[in-house]
Amino acid sequence: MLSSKGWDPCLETSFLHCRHQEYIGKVTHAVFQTASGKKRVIVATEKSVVASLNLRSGEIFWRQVLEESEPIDGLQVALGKYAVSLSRGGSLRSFHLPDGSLIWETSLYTSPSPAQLFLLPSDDLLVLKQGIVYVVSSADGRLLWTSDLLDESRLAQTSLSFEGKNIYVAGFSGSSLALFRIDASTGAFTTLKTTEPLNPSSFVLSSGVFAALDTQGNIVTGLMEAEVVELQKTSLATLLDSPVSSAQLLPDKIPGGCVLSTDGGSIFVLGLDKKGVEVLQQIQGPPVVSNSIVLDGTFAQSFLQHINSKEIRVRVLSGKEWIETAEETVEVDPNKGGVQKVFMNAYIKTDRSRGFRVLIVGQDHSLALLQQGKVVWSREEALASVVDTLTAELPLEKAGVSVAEVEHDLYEWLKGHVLRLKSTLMLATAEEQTALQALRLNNADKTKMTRDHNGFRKLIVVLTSSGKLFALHTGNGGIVWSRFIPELSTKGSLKLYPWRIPHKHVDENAVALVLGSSHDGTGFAAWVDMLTGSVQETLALPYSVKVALALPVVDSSERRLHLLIDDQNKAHLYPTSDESLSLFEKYMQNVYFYIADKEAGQIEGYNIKSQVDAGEEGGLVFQSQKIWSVLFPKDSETIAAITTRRADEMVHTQAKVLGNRDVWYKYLNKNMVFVATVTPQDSRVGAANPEETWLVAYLIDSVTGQILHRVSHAHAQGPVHVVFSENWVVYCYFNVRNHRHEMSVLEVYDKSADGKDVLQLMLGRYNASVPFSSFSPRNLEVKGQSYFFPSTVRTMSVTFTARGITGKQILVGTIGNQVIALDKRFLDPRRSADPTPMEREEGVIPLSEGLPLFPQSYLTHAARVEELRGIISVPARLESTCLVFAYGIDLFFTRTAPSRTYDSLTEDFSYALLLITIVVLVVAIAVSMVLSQRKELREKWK
Amino acid sequence: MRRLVPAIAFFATLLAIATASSGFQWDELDDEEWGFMGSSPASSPPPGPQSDLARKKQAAPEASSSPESNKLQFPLEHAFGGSEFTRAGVFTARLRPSLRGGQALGKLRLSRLPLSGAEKQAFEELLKEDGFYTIRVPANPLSPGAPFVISSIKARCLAIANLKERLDIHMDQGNIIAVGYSAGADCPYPRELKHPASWTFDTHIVSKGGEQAKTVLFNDFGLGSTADDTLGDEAMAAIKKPPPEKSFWAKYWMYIIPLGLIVMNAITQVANMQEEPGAPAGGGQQARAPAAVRRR
Repeated sequence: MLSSKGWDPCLETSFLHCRHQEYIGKVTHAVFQTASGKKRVIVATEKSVVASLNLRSGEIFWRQVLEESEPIDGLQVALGKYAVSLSRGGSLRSFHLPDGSLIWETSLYTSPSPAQLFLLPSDDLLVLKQGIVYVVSSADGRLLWTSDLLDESRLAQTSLSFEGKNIYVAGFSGSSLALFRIDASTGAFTTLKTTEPLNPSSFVLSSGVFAALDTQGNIVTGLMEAEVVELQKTSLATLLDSPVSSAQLLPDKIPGGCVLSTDGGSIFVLGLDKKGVEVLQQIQGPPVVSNSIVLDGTFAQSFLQHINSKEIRVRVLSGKEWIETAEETVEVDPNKGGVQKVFMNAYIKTDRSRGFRVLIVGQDHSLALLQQGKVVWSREEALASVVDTLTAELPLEKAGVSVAEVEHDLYEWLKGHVLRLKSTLMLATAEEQTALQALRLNNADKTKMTRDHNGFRKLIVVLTSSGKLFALHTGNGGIVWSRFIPELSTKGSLKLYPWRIPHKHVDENAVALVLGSSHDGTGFAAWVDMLTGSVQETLALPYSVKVALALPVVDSSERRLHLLIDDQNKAHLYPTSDESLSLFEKYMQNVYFYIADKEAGQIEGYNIKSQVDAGEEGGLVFQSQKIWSVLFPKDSETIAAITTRRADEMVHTQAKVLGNRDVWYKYLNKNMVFVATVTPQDSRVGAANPEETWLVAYLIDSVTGQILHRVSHAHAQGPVHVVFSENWVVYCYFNVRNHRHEMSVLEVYDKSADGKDVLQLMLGRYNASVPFSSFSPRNLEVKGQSYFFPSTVRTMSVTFTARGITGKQILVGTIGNQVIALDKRFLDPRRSADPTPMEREEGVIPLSEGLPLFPQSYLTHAARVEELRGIISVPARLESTCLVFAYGIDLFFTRTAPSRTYDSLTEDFSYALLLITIVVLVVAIAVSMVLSQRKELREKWK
Repeated sequence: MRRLVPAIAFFATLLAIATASSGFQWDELDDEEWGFMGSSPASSPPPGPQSDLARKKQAAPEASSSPESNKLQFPLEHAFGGSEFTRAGVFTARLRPSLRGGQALGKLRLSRLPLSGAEKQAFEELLKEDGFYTIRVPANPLSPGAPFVISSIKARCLAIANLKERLDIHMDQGNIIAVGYSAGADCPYPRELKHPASWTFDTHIVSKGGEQAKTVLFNDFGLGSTADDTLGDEAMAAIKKPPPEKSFWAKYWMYIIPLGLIVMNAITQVANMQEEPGAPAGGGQQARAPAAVRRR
């Protein structure tokens, strides 16, 4: 469990290029805390975060990140000072409201089953888990009492309400409804009987009364005070004055009432009491119902409805009547989708009347506060669930057109330089230092919407699991545009592909292809402009996309040809123009792809055979044929990781010159695939037998299916994290026997060229510029070595630079949610205990069993990227530098220079100081020249 | 006891490495050896005529292991550019117990059936369209049938190599993981159309077991590894060799050079002081000479 407070290391003087943004995820529970002191709202989210937000601005006061595998089932504020969360694994945790520190923690049970958390009128906490009731003291987390209502059999869809001293619980036991009454102080319970058996389709419980819908179209109500509950049946048709074919009771809680939705699209708010059931209000169209609050002894609740995509109507129901003064129409951003959840809070206005504010959670996971008919603030919480990223170049700066929002004036420029000069000469005061820091951070140059010379300014286009796309500016991390595509929110796997990256037509915008596919066999494609965010085209696909291949061919308008492989292994070509067909036909024979099936434990290779009739859907469809397969024995190997090289990777040189002037040639086959398999085992802790756990690493040519190399590691266990770059693979796993993490490296060299001289290589067919065929067998040599790694790995990546000259760093995301840059030279398979002088000259480091972690190698400094899931590296135009973007719940961006910035001056290099030095020197030269001439003259007159 | 455990571990590793490497290569198949099957395991009989052998194979069941010997047969099937798979030959192998339990295959031999007329025609067709010649073997030869391991090669590559083929069979405990199928010669792209000189396959089989990776070497004595416990003081001393003695100049050059400079400086100063009485006159002449040049 990790907490963080609002300190950002990126604001420190020495880390100018990093940006750290904190998010919390999609809010599932919220409790307002406005009674005294700071106005705040406590929220719990899908990402298992408990956070306290400033109600005025939406900023995070504090947050606690709990185990992601245990979603938060309930959140309450107890005794006015503790925020209590209930996790799926049965952990009840209490956090101090002002600072978020953990006050107490109780583990009630261990089974990962859903439960509900309630606050009793006595301010104690009640947990209801499938028919077992736990009551916990909110002061210290002590278990006061527990009762098992059904003797360990399960109660489904439970509901609970309080009335006076009693707690009422209802739930399905099998298909029949079971009702219970519990004494709140002792936990003694009574099983209530009904006058006739109940088998309802849906039910609700409200203030000691229950309402259920039976299969005959009646609403059955009963008072739960008596031992034997008398049932009252009312026909829905007579109650609602209209025939109803199907209806449902919504689970929204209304004290003393319930919400009924009918097939006609209407919603009825029903009142339940001793006398029976009555209709309080009828609402057209489905509203979103908030939690209820107590107002002057009655309950109040707000109902939100979309009038159109831009406007929301907010109404508050108190007792039987709408509060007229509270009815508001609020304009919202149509880019956020529909409202999914509402939380309501009341406050006293300055004129002593009552006002209401609501917190809404949108379909795009955003969180917004509505008050006084306006959106006061909103948070883009979709950014906590990034699934894929792309980078886009900004447009070129055109002469005469200033695209920058804020240009420096001369005075500002001068002031900045004077400040820098003072700082360099150590004359600056503390205030001036802070002013300089602010100036550096908000440098308008950084946030310009144009390309810069060094290629540091880019747009990072991120796709989130909510189906919303964002473009983030690398200069300040700000959102340039965002686009919500509702069709994507229902799709399971989402991916981004670069569809069109203009090189010739530089004034045109880059386009990204967004693909989503779901298990029901349908897919969705959208083409989005990467600079403006406008959706150019959408397409519903009648198949789910297994693999999407970007072909190395572009058409005349620079659209890249893409092949989408469907579940029948048919290939669909996009764009569907005649031009792309003719381009593809030339190329078709050489298109190979592979499909890995982790469940079946096999990898199959395919080749495109011929075009087939597309049928009704149209488009360009091709038949594939299976040409190879690799089948891993099911009982001893399951696929743990599959990785290929990045298609756009630049390799500077194919040759590696050794200390003894030997040359080794890197085997740079772009079709090489790394596959790691591990021994299948049950996931229980300690179940692994070190003698029987193996990891087998394969290097497979994905064109021919040839296994180029196969090596097994004893006592190794997953998860396996892999990085594949140039001719090497680095993979990380856990060694069960040594109880340590290990990192292994494999480097592949082509030995076919051995014995050839340089001239032969330059002219012959062994150099990298000549196309080579996978069908020509090569003589390969694979070098390997393993090292211990002193940290647990969450994810791994590698730096990429513009030309591939700069050395490589491996970027490791650790269990502590930090990014470490590890020099590739430490993972050299040629390291030996005692390197020869020649090897030393070449830079081979003496062998050690462990890989070193230096404090300076933490790219994230002191920042933590909570629940770190991915690290992306993008080359800048400057060869030495690489941009690194890490995402988890938080986002982090920085620059790294694996071999130092050898090709540029630092950004805050003081040109003024240089200029002044030159001027002073020139003046000094002139003065001394004059003086020496005079002296000479004097000498001559002597 | 503490010393014993690493020693046992080391021995076990050695054994594992040794056996892994012994479970490696059975390659090199000569045409003469093709008539090996069906004989007693002790000695191989003289090779029989090839046509006779072929007939035998066609009559043979899908796969069989004779009860008295530990021999095994399984089929090799082929297809021409996505056609149905037909019988192309029979593998024979010897079963032996595997290190990691179960059984392993050894002594792999293949006897290939000659191509029929229709098959030759299909192959010619493949050559024309640059199609794939595909082979498959059962993934589990102990119980042949589906699933199969498939591998393909461009027919033109085979023709260029004159039907000289190479099969890399990757195995793990009696299972075939993959078959690497390659031609015996280089096949650069674009592939030229060439017809094979003869229609007999020249097969070379390499069976590959697993190679075990090097384990992490414990040589970092500072990191609390087990090396301190296992090695005696002498061994430690031997490993921590003293660095070779440097020469006098290499050791003290940084002191000698400044000292030399200081001495030289002092000498020149002394020399200057001796010349000082006559110095102004000489200096005046030197200064005047260039000025005179400039005046012209």
